[in-house]
Amino acid sequence: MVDYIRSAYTVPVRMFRDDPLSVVEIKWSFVPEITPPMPWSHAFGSRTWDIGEEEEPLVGELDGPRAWQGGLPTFPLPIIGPSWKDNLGLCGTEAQWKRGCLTSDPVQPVWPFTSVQQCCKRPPSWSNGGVAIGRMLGVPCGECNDLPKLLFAKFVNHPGFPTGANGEWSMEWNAEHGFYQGFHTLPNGNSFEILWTCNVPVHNFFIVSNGAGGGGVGFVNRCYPYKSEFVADCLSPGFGFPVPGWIGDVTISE
Amino acid sequence: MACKVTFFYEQVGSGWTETWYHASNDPKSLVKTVIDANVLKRAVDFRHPLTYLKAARATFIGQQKDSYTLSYGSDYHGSGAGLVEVGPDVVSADAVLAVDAQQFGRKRMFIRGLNDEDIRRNAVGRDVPSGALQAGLTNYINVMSQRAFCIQKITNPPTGGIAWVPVTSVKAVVGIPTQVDVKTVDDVVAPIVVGERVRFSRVPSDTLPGFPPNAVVIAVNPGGVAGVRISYSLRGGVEVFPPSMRVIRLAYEYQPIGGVAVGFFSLVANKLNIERFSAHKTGRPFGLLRGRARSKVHAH
Repeated sequence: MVDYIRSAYTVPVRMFRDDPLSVVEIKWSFVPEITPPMPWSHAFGSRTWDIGEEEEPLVGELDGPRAWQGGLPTFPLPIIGPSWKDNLGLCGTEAQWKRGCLTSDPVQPVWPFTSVQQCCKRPPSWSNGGVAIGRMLGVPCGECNDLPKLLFAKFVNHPGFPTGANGEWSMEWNAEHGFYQGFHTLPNGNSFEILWTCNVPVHNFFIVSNGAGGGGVGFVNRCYPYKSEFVADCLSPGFGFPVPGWIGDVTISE
Repeated sequence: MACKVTFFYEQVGSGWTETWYHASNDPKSLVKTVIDANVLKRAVDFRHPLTYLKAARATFIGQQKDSYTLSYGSDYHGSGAGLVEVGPDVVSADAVLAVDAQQFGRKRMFIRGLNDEDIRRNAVGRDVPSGALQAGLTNYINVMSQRAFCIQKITNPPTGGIAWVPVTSVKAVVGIPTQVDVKTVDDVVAPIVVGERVRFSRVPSDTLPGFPPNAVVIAVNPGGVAGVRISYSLRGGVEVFPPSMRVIRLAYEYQPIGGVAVGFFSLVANKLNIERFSAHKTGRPFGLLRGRARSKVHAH
């Protein structure tokens, strides 16, 4: 966690202390509250409330307009560890964070097919190739704290994808990382994995994967009573990948 | 130079900050040693039980930005056991604390996240703070004073006969897309020097979006033309001619709450006075998505 902010935004940042004209644009994202703060003092904190009070720094955020953006996590699952002891997500050296990088500094290797450095967890492979919006389900669920400890989800009416034994599987709350996670193996051997993050209240979303590079992301906006059928009127069209309509009709119930 | 210190408070879905200053040049040491448990406890103890001091951040004020943040989780929160109130209102109860100082007269601070029971209006319409609130605030200010924390005093309008100066144009600096030259009708912005600050007013938001209300001067009369150079990215790199924009020299002073801090004026006498109460809807919590926000997921 780099800083506390109320609104996420994009802003031009000077990263290299030996190349002041090299400016890159960064995007702020919100992280789970359990994420520990940066262990070092650094030059890359938010300057939204400092503009005009201090000089524009040699490295760090520049003055000027800041375009608001939602602050959704870069990846739907945390790619940093729950503590810095995990040595996950803490990329770069103390000197780089404090005084900026040099253009001659080596670039850390990234996970294959991603732009995520290997100092972070490997991002979900099923997000490779794109993220797709699933079907919207009705009314907001409410705050994460209101969610039950154990959830059940099931696919209903998803053309092109086999349904297992009544298409239902359970999800358990993973308190450490802040998401629901569940697995379900279909009779034909394919397995589903469903992950429902609660890092962002109201905008809870889930990922479904068949473990073979296919899947999609859906937003869950309603919790249904256990084993109830979904309400067709609450659905809006969505798409998954690689087959449109995969994510289709999912009900989440407790 | 000094450090800007920000306390992050939250109260059930609302968040706000409190800003102090300190003569220290080491933000990490400031947060880890000067802002100790005694400071943190006194900062929040007199507030509502559901008011939490979530974190403290110190930022070195200077060209080499250096910022350090420490989170406290739920370690420090207000007390107030035995109060009638069992939950917070939709608004935060606030008090306006006036600090009197010989150097700058009176400076007012919002003290937020209080107990309703501590701020009552009496029969003749006078806001009367409870004894607990007065004692708690005195303890808080005292400990900040002992640690040489300061409050910021903005001198505006500045002394010396300097007045608002009309701005004739704002033009991107060739080759430096993050800087602009603010041209004025004459050089009466002087005697400002590089590193000092100016304040702008009547900035047209349509042609100069996000233009800083205050800015540090990078150059005076750049290119021999009256005006100042500041940091701002003028999109398109064009020249804008705002019809009624003005600029004035601005002076900040950091005054200690009490005691004597190196490089700062000391307060010969200070007096604390709770002037009035209010209730405000505070901001949303830090690190959460805005409730009314819509999210979009784009295929990449």
